[in-house]
Amino acid sequence: MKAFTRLDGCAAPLELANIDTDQIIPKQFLKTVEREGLAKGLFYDFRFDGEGNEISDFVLNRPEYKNASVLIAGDNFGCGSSREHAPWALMDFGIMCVISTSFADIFNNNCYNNGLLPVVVTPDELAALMDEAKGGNHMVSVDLDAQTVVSPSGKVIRFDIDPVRKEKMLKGLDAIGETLQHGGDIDAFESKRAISQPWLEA
Amino acid sequence: MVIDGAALVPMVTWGTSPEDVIPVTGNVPDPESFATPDKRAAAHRALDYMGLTAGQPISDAKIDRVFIGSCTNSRIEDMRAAAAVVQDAFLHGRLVAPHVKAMVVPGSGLVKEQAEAEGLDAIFKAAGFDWREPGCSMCLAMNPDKLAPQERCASTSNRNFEGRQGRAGRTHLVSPAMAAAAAIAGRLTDVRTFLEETA
Repeated sequence: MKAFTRLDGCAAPLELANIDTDQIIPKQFLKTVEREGLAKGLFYDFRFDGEGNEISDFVLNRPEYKNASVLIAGDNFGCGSSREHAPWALMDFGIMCVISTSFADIFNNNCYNNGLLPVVVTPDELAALMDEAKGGNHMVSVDLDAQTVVSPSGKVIRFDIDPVRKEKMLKGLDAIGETLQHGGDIDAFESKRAISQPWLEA
Repeated sequence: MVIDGAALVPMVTWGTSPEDVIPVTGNVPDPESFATPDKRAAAHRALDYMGLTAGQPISDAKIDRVFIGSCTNSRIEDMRAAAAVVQDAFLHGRLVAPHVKAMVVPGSGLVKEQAEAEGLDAIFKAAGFDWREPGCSMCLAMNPDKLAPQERCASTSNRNFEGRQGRAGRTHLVSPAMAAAAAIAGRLTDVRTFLEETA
């Protein structure tokens, strides 16, 4: 997993609450376990009409937001079906951070396990960020170590994050990566057990 | 404490989240009646998507499709509950409404085998339901089982998000017995009374 330390990028405002994983990436794009190439399905029904033509006024189709790396979205982002493709699709599109007032639990975990940073702010902070991102300047800075988001106008918003999760994001460790950090201990334990309890060896 | 489950009115969804439920005897809520701006905006969007009007009785909603299936609600007891409603209606001379396409998709191969051993498939087929192979089917519309835009469906799956059963498709989540009743009545209806009311 890629470490998340600091991100300076364009923030796209998506002013909708309860965006579910079926909206983030519709099911027809789920027939893969590859993480690459899912960007084409991201927000598919928002970005394209029934004939597959681009819907030009959807935020991520507008030229000023096409290379957004931060998404500012309404409450309860990522609800619905458990679907790891949701963070995969966001990241494949280039979105490395989502800012909202709350995230659905499974989606939240999937983000941390893939290196996408979910940032929780207060409703007032979200509304202010949303307004600024709609203006002429959409550049924000997300600093995980300092736990801050700097808005386009320079306003500093502090956010909370679980210290263990923060550490893992900063080091680029998912659950497997974290386990492998203890590889030496695991090997030592297994060698010892092979001798003390040989009947457990396959 | 005594909880009288039998006093519960069957519930149906009116919106695009599983939490958007009302009793089938109720009316579609007014989006302005919700407490927060987010909820009001979501409700307006949901009514627009679902093609419903605030205040209309939900049982006015005429349906095009019925899906009895999904891992959530097509166990053998669900098949039995739906088949009991269908059998009762059939004995009253009722079939799936002519404008409705209805299908039953058992939850697994074992459920299908068991249901066939009990003769449930024969009941469904006699009443005009499609009896299908087990699978995800129209729970998430990954295969050709999907709603056309604006088609309205009574579904026993557990997700009613926008586009879940097909782009612009309109999903009402209901129980298996309620889905069976909806197929026969041709609209959302109270399974406890629909035979008399829609005769």
